[in-house]
Amino acid sequence: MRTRIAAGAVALGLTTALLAGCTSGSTNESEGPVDDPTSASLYLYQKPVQFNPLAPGQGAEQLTMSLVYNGLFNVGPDFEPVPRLAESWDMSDDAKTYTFHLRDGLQWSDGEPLTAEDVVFTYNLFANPEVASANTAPFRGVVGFEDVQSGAADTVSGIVATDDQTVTIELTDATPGFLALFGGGYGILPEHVLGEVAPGAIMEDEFFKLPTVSSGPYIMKEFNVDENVILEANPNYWSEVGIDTLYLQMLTSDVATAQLATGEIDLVQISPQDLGTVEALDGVSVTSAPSPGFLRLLVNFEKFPDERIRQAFLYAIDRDGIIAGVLGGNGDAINSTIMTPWALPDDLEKYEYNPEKAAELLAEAGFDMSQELKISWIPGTADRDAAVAVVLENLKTAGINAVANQIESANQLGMIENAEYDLMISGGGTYTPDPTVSANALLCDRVYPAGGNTSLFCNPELDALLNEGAITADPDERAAIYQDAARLDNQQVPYLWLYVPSTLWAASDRLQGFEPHGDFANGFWNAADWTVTD
Amino acid sequence: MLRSLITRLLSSVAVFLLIAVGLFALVRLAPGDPVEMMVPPDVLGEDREAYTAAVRERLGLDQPIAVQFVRWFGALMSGDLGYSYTNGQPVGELLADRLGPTVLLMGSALLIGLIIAVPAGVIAAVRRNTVADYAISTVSVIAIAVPSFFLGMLAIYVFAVKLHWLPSSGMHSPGKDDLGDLLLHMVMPVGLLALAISASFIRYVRSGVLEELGKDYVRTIIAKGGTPARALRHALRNSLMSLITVLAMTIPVTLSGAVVLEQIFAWPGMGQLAIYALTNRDYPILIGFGLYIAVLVLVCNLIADLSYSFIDPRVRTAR
Repeated sequence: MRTRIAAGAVALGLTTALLAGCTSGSTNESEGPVDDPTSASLYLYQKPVQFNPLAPGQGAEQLTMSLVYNGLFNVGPDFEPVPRLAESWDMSDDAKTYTFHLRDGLQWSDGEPLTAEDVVFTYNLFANPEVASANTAPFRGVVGFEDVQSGAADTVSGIVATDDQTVTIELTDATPGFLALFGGGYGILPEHVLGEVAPGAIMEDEFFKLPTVSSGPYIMKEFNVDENVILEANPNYWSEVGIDTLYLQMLTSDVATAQLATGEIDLVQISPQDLGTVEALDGVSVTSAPSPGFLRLLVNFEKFPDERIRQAFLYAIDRDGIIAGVLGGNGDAINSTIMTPWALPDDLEKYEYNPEKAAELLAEAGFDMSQELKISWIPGTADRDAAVAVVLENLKTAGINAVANQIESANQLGMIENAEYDLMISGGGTYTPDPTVSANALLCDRVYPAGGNTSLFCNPELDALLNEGAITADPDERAAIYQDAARLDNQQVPYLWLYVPSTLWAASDRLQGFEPHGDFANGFWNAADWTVTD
Repeated sequence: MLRSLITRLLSSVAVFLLIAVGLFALVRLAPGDPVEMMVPPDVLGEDREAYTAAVRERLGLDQPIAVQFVRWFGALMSGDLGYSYTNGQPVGELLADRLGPTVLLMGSALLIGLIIAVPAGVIAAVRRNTVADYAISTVSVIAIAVPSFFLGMLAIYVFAVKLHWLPSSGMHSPGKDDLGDLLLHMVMPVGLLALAISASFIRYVRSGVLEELGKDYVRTIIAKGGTPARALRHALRNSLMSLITVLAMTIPVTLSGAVVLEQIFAWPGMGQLAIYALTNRDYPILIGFGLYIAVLVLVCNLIADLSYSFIDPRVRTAR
């Protein structure tokens, strides 16, 4: 019997070693370069699938792409553009022509020169109907876009490389908010790699599963599904890259928090619920920045066309209480769908919590208090679940017969399209860079499914202001128009603005140079400047 | 013997085809649209429509469901499981990639679990109603009752966060690819799984051996002057039948991935893939995963049936 147990133990050991050997591949790689290479581990909160700037990328994909693709510019934490491949740019006085000046001596990671032709190639892909990109927004106003869409032309005539380092983009209308339409994305693609691929086949090209030729600070070396993405510093990047190797680790948020404590991970985007735990850890510091979007309750305009009812709902909700109770103070209340600082007047109504006033307004508007008011939301996100609970209590306090209504994400858009909701929790957006982005959520002709106006809101007067602001080139005049729009928006309450959450980042003390960005999908925006101390 | 084997095989094939068709119907009946889920909710308007329409056409989802079924079934008959909707990789390849980590995790856990369970179960049966039996039974009942996600979190907290003995999760530390590192990463997930597996097996071994020990032939062996060890060897062998049935049912379950533990320990195995496919409504992966489990169940049942006749001569002669 004893010999059998021993044999079993040996067999077990052998099997384990064998199985381990099968999966671990090459085992000896310990002989590193002379200099000890530096590395950092970063948390990815989702699992990326592909790395294609032409496709609608989810947050983790955008985070990863920001390391391997450089755009002409990116958006900094203050939501102003920061130079990337372009060193500078000019807008013509009529705001119809933009000229981008590329840096000297730009190279792809494989050593090929990166020129204005690559930019023209990339932007034409975005505009090509055969590619069917989900990110055509900036190019819709470019001269020649319609011809490409209709098939009359192969390339967009308004996007021109005037020389190797200069790209000009000509727009049909004055578009002072043009740069904001790019968000942080629109990385430039290598023409020498993808130039031969037919536009109709490009979305499925293998390149986007492992983009090994890079215009960004890092080169993708490995993409281990469900495990990690391994990136190495791009030696040909236009600035020096501080950390040699980055590991983007796909983890659950609980494990990521645990790894902060063990020192296995250097950067994690955390939720307010974890803040207390993380702040108590040694060697970890938390920084934050306001998000460019906000959590809101869509309020169905078709059911509640009277603004007094919408105002009453907002008065009835204790938003400061939600920010303090749910977010631990890590958020701000806003009072307009327009979020760009220069477009906000300081005389907006603050809609401070006032259930009596809410009841008054509802009575005035003849609102039937016995009528059931459904608050629809997709459960499963801690802060939203908690916010819904508070909103329900608040509305009941004001005498409204509010009930919670759980929905599935698969049904959400259908409910909006058919106007089958009363109030619905919805979040996100990148509104801060320019009011033209907010306009997509407000204009009558952008009512879902045509655009992002998911409250189905429509006000011709507001439309007129927003449309005028979009084409006014003079910055002061433009600011004045948008401030009027913000006042009207503030009075009309097209959305119940709950809060702008702060995006919280926990970084280990060995990671130096990290600057928090409020847009979590752009959190690695200055990764080239990071260093580690060991 | 050969004839019964052939009929068994044929019926297995028929069951497989039925399962395949059922899976297709079931997966398509689930609410949710895989294409809509590829586009973030804040991309709306023309861009969304153009993109979703192009994707639908590329994936063939714009065709009537009957056409989709015929295409899918035709491909399946030639061994083609199709391509993932989300990342375009062949499903067969995706499943094969995950098999390694899952077999490593589950195989070692199953082996260790059995090595613990059989002696422990025998001890509990032989020393029935003694301290040893109570101790083993108590531990196994607790291990069955406490959910693995709780033990997993607890283990991470104790061994990784507090004691710094073990890495918290994953299969490899970033930048390391050696065997020692892998073994360290395996300790917690394999240990917890082995605990769970042995806990339930101990119960089966104990009751199986107990039942056999009460039978006449055991008394006969003892009466003939046979040693208790000899009696036990016979009893153990006879109780193997039920253990094999349990094992045959356990293997497919374990090889489909311990979904919860794989999530907690970020283990890149089958369970994680299944969860991913489910949340993204990646139909080809979902169906592929379902078929993989179906094949496992069928094969394990077949093997179990065959092994009965090896272990128990009565099954052979009964035919």
